[in-house]
Amino acid sequence: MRSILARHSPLVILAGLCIVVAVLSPEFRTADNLKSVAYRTSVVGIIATGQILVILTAGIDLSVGSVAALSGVVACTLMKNHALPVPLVIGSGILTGLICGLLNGFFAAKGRIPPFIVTLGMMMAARGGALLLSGGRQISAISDTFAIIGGMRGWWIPVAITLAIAAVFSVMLTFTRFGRALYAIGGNLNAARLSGIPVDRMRIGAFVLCGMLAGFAGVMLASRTGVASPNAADGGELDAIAACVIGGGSLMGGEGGCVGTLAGALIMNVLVNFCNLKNINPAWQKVLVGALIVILVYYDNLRKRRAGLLKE
Amino acid sequence: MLVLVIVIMFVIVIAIVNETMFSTLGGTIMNRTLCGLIVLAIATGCGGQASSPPAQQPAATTSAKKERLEIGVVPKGISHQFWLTVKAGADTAGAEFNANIRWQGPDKETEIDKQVNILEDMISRRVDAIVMAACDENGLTNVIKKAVEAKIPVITIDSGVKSDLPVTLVATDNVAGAKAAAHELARLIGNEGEVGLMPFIPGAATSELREQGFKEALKELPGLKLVATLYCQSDVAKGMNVTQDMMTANPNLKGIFAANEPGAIGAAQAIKAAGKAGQIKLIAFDASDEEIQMLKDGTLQALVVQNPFQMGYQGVKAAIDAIQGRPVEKRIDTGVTVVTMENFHQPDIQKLLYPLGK
Repeated sequence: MRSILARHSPLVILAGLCIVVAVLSPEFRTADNLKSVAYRTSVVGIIATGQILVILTAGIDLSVGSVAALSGVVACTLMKNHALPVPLVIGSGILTGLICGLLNGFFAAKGRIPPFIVTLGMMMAARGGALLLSGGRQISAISDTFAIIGGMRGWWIPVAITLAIAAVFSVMLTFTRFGRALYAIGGNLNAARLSGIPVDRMRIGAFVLCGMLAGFAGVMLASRTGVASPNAADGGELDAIAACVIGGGSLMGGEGGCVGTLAGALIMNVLVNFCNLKNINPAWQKVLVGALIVILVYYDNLRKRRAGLLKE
Repeated sequence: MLVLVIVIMFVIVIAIVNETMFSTLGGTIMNRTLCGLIVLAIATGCGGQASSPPAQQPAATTSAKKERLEIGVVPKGISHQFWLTVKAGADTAGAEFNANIRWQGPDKETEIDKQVNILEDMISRRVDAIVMAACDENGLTNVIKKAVEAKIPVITIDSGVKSDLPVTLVATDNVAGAKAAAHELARLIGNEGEVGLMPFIPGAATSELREQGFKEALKELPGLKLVATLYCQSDVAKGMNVTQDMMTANPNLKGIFAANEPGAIGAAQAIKAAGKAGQIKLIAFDASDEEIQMLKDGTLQALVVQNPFQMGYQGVKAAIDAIQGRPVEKRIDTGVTVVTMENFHQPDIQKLLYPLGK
């Protein structure tokens, strides 16, 4: 029982937080508000789902926020200037993310450069690319069909997409050779290599999927806000990393999962939502969220250590 | 390794060509891409080439020095239409008074440190004058002092600083503009009801002044009750989130004042998504294409339109007056105009809304 609790602690923390917030703020309990929180978590939830794949391999992807912005700009430019049909627009965004992810993965795995450095470069280059391509302007993304994936025709669509993505990747991590290899690589890279896992290919795969998800999230963000902005998802990479870590991921690799990550993203958004509902000074919001990230991860580690789950 | 060096050189050449041919975009964007590509490129090699490529950059920028006056214009950000209109005004004045305009700014309005770096570079480059919009009213005072000590006159536009050193401030009277917004909002909701306020960044002068003006006007409007003040951080998605929270916490909300463009777009999207377009009256500062579209389709009821073109134009004009020793007034107001669908089609309003043409 205890170990089950420890394994799913992000969900327990989320539930606890929701109960506390619901008691303190009657507005939080309203259906509209819960919908709104679920809905706004979709973009960061998808980015974080990609991020956890890379974090599992003991890597990190700092470029996801910029890649999301670039993908949104690419997709909306194509839609506006070339009247591309919506599925192709979405596809072009995912493709942009795929290319960025492939470059990241190639240089990190084959080039043997620390992922931090590679993705730092990509973070700057992709942001610059987004600014260049858009000429620094916001690109209008108003189209009735395009608005669907961002939830302008029903809040549940992005939420359902996010849950579906998390479910698919959760199953992939648990049941496929690829998923298990990611845990093995993060656990011990050399051991994984010696046991015959094609380490480089698996790592590239993680970066590619991460890039694709960031690309898709960028398109979804543009659809939601009605504009593709070259400055969109600024700091998105840090939100995603925070979500992974709150959700039980370890930057040392080998630990974490999609369900926990999604819970982590929700925990952050519930907190910010609560502060907004209570009209709390934005400076205090930052203090509160920052402190809670550290406290939650600290307690999570403590519980895991007690349950004997932590890698020392 | 040779290939890498060639790639790096190639990128730099493209950057230089791009900058000289299309100086309209400003160097910042290119520098950013350049930095990223160089990091990537260096990272792929063994780092041995690290010292040579950055050394190439200053050569590219100093070569353009000419006899004409050179005026550095530093906006708070480069990706909003507002700043592009300021640029059009600055360029017009530059052409008229025979001066080169060097346009460079941080990517985002929150990047105070980047703006300081850009200004330091302009001082090293010894431009003849600096026209700038301060990202922060305190954070830029030191670098302005440095410029003045280097005998470079500084003209502030749009957002001033807490210092007497700048020659003048060419800006909208933001307090008066926000007051006009409050009175228009009162008219729209029938002088009674709950209203929300969305400034953008706590500590930024423009944001604070608009907040102050709106709150001052509410004292004269007893029917209006301010129930929420939430910041959008100049981010559309965050503006959308806080508007949803505002509506959730205050079901009787009748009107919102969004103090800048990203906040306005976010608020309009949130109101539209909630199916409350027209029920919750929205009034916003500025007039980007998106905001004008939202005014036309009825999600947004009124715009408080500044005159960014005049800021750029008057700013550069004041800079030239200062260089040539003519007197300049300490405060130049560029005014605001409230635009609704009632006056939308008037020719003077159209010119204000589309200073760059449609």
